[in-house]
Amino acid sequence: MYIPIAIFSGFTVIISIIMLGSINKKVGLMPTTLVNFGAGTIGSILILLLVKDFNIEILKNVPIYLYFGSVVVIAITMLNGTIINNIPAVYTTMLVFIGQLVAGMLIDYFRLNQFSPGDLVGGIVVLLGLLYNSKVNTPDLVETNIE
Amino acid sequence: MYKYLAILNGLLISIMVLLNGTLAKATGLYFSLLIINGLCLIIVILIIIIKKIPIKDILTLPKYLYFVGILGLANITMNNISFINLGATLTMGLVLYGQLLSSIIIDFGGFFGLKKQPFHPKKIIGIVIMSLGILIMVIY
Repeated sequence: MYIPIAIFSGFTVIISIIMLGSINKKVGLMPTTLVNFGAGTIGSILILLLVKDFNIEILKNVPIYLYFGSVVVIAITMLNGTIINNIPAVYTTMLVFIGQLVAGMLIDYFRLNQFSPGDLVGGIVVLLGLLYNSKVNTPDLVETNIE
Repeated sequence: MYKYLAILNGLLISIMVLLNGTLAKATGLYFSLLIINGLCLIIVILIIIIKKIPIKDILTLPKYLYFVGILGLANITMNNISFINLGATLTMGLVLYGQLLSSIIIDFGGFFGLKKQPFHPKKIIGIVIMSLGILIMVIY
């Protein structure tokens, strides 16, 4: 059940990249980011009004560092803008995935106190698949657009 | 130097999923959407003010492009659900897999105004290898 949700999340990433890319071309990186989070904020307010499921009091008990997720989001956006024009996108995809894997395994190790050899081996196999397809020379979205 | 930045970006993406996922667990999925988007919006506005970046052009955009924010909401929600239930590594693997599948579909169909790309049959081999990798991650 959760597996299709995560895969579908990848679909939304690609469609977002296409839309943000075409906004970026017209107005530049920061105004694009403004549109993205401005619309997101309005949308999330509407959702909250609809579900009425929130409690401001809860915010007092949330550790401060959890709010830094948003700082990280902005850092990622700005890094993307720097990287994308400077190395071929197919390498970017692989390098970014290597970073995701390493940090992901560390996070799972400290959070769940377990190391999953399947994640490591599977992750490397995924990388090999990416590498193989990068040798097949058709430019596609993944090679030209991802992160 | 850019190579290291790309790896750093990957590390940050996992950390983002950790922080936002944990926030969602603490405050509830929907409330966390507002917190994350609202804080990001404040940071962007500050950067735009400090750097004096002109923003008037955003009013001339075709209206449908504003819906990118809604897509972002769907993305954060699904990431958070997935992180809470599957862990960080598997979430990252599956999201990447979804990206690959969707880009192949979009390229092949020429959706969203993009030029159709012929599907290279050899790519099936790479897709099979990646599917195998994902299967290993899911099973073990």
